[in-house]
Amino acid sequence: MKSTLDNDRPIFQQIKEMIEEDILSGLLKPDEQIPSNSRLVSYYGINPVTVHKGVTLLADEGLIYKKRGLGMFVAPDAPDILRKSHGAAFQSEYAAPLVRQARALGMSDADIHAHIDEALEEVAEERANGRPAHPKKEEDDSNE
Amino acid sequence: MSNTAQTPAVRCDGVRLRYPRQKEEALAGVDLNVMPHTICGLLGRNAAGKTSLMALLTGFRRQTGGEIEVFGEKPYENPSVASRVAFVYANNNELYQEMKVRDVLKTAAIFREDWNDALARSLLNAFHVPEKKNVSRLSLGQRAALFCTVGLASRVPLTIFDEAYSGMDAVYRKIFAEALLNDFMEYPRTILFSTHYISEWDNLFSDVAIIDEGRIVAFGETDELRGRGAAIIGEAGAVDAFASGKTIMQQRSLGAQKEVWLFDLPANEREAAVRQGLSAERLSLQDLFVGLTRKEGESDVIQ
Repeated sequence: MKSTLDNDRPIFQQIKEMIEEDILSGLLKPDEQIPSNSRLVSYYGINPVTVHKGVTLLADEGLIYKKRGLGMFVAPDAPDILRKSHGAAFQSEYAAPLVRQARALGMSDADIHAHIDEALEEVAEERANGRPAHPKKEEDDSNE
Repeated sequence: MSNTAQTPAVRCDGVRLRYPRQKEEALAGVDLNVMPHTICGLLGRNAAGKTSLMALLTGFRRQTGGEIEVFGEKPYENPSVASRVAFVYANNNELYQEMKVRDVLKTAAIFREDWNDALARSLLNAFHVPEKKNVSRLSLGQRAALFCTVGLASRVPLTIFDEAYSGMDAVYRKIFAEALLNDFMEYPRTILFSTHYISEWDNLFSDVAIIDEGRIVAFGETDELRGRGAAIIGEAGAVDAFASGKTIMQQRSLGAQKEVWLFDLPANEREAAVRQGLSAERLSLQDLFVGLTRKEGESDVIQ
């Protein structure tokens, strides 16, 4: 979860995306309970209707399910669903802007490839130094 | 949480108000529905008509035109409405100057049947407002804290806060905002809230009404309303071509670059702008408000 909300997208969408990110990163695991609506309201200081809207969207997409009287829980296949949908958006949201920025800086194809190779090495190194590749397989040391 | 089938908590239909011996109307045809169990922000510049409208809803004054209903009844001098409405504003302490804080609480407890004494006391404790002090001896921020506390703890079906936190410091305002949300969840009611500090409060609102020169100029769900403002930025000629024929709220240039703020730009138009190499950004609610309410003569003061 981020500490604050920004202005570039609707707030309910940011609530939805933050929970999605926590599912993707493994901070929220399948069949684990997500924070209650009232916790989200208090934490971010936002209107309950806004939170309700974001959480309802997650449920509509099958990413969370309701246990009566208990709250909302992460669906078992939520990480898979998210990897697929985020994978599909990777091209337009990350790859294309990266190439556009590189062109604006006057980079050649080779320059771009070189930068990506360098980034790949950097991330590989981070992982070798103990940053979890798949956090869900690591021990859960989340503090909330 | 569907509100569609409910009757509004507040219904204003062409509401007009002209004060005696005033040429200009303070309210010039206000249309506004506030649904039950929402927190509605009422945003307006100084003298836009916020306080006039709130005073009508409270039954302090009678409108000179149009219709007002609060919970389906006419509010003016109507005890049944008065018992269900609380109006909290920054300077409503003349009545209480000579009272001690604890007597203000006692009075509220008598008049408000759902009064929550535990909430009042824990909030005053958080605000460090001593119950044995005279209201007249409290600081500005403490006084505001006291009346906001009374407004919340009264738990009336319609609570109106009119710049009620004026004088509170940032920590006090944070405490008040948290208490308001928490108590709203515990005990849902309709809240109408006016503020000039839009970017500090906007996320608390489910709905927002913008009032300007005595009329509601924009109303909607907060997220939806924010989405109605767009900043289009790019090379001046391309921006002008794109903005032509659209509702321009503001514009400014920086060298060859130009920025225009548009109102009610459809989503497909926004995408079209991006495809043309322009950048299209959402406006914050505060910027949208400035865009909609800034007047001609105020635009080029500094040039």
